[in-house]
Amino acid sequence: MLPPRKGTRGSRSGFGVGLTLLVSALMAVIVATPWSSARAAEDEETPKSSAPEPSQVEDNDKPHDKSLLEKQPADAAVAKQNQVNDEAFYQKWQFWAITGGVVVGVVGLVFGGRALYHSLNGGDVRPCNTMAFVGCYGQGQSQ
Amino acid sequence: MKPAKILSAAALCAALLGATLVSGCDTYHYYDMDVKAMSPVTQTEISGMQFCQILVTGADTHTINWTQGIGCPPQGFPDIGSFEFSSFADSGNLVFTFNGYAMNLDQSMLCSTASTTMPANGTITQMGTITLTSFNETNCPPHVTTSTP
Repeated sequence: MLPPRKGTRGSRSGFGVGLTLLVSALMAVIVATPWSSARAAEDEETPKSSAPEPSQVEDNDKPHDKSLLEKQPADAAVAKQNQVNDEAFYQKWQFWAITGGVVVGVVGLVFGGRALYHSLNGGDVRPCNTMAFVGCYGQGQSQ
Repeated sequence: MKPAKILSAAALCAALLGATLVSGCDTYHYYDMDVKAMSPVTQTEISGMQFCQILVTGADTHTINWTQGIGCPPQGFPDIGSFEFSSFADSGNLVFTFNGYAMNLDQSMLCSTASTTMPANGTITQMGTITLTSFNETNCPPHVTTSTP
């Protein structure tokens, strides 16, 4: 009688799957942790960008007169103008004024056109005097 | 586009609009017509007309039917009835023809006919008269009655 085998084909396959899952989880933890190598690289760059500005002595382009650094009224006007220009078209009163004018104009044109068309076609026929006539006939009459 | 071209285009549009307004304008013209009978036509004769038709021909066309007590049979004498005809016609002539029938629209029952011509012009309201001066007793014998029991 043969001794029982220590590992079957199925148990070895389960071990392989388990190992694969373990390696995958480890990789995921390494990638996701903030103290990963990529994060470390960012941390190393940060001090470079937050280095202190060169002193006034070193910045030859910056004027020494502080009045020149203060904002001028023209700058405020330009900033305000830029703010106005940044508004959407429907936020401007001119848009609504023009839109309202166009709407009123179209409505007036429709009604005025109908009235003009009616007038050009003779307008309203004279009411029939039924006391004097047996009936009224012809253009504009229902009979 | 050059300003001269714009001006010429605007002038052309204005001319077209003006021409449309002038040429497309219709005005009602009214013809107040009175239908009468005179001797030798008698009241007894015309009272036998049960169906009357007025034909408008010429510058405008229309057909007017008087029947079932509305205009025909005539309720009065010598005035048979008046009517108003409206038309956009402003040139030519309008011919109004009155035909009175004994029973219905049948030439063999034509009792009396008369016509008058009216000029179609710029006048808003014109008045005219259609006068019946003859009566065909062959087509419309006096004894003809249409009264129902």
